[in-house]
Amino acid sequence: MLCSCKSILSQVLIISAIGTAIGIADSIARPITLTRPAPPPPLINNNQSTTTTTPTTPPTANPAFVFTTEADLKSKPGQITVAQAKSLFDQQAFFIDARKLEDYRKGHVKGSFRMAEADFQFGNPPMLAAIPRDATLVVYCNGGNCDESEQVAKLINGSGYQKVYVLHDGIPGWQAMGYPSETGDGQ
Amino acid sequence: MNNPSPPTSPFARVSALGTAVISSQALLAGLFLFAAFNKLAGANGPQLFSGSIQAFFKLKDGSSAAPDWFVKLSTGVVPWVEVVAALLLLCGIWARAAATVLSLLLITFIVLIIQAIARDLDLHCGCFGKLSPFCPEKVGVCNIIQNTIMLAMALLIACTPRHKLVKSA
Repeated sequence: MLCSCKSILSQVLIISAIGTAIGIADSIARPITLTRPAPPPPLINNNQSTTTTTPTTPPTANPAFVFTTEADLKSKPGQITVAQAKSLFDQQAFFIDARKLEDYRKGHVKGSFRMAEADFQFGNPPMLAAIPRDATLVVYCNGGNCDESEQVAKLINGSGYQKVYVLHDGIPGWQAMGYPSETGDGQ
Repeated sequence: MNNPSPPTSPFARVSALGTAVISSQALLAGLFLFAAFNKLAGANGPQLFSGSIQAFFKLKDGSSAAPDWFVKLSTGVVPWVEVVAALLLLCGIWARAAATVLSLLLITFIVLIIQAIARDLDLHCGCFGKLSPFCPEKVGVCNIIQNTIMLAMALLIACTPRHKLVKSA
């Protein structure tokens, strides 16, 4: 009886090992991209007018800019509107500029860090280590079709940060709303 | 002159318990091969399965408690362990060990489903990939019953010694 159990146990281990080996090989051959969860509602402060579905337009906003709404982003998990980003900005979220240094110098979200995809080439950039793991991060680039923010957000997410969002309208949307910006080398 | 005895079918020697075990082996192997195929097939299969794994570990703030490495590893490994065990079960090779592996998987699935129900998570099982042939609604008691029936079949195979599959002389 004991002998039979030992034999079954070893067979169980062999079956598990074969399945695991094939599974790992398959994962390497067909890597998957994990989708980030959608922005959770509690992160947005309900007392602020900027949390409404349609962003309120301050007097300094550029009327020519076509802003993305929350409804537009329903099928894009992890992407947020300018209004949601402003709400997170007011809640001391960390903003990450994923563009080139020269673009960053020309104008960026006030207090934002610059972290491009290339900075992750040899591991996490030292600046990332300064940000707590449970912090909320908003990554942006030039909006529209730019995908630097998506790439950097994935890399940050892969480093263990769960609350990572992408500002869909990017810096053009932020500046069109007249929200706090600055120029120069910044952080 | 003696009449020659009629040839006996090999199935005539299978006991009632043996019939139940062999039927369970075929059914369980088919179900797990179907489940694994849906988790592996196409570009979306693994993607959807990884989403299901994340959903089972969803926290109140919307993030997932499961680290990325765990989700990726489970997405790749679980369906292939199912395939290997199901094929062995179908061929009758190491059937008791294969059934033990599937039992362990089913116990894990049941525990995950119970905690999802307890936390009132709104998610689909993902047990058969994007298809849910037996329990179409959100994860609930139906999934526990489905997995418990499969677990009973797996335990029957795992706990039945091979010599009991044939009638004793």
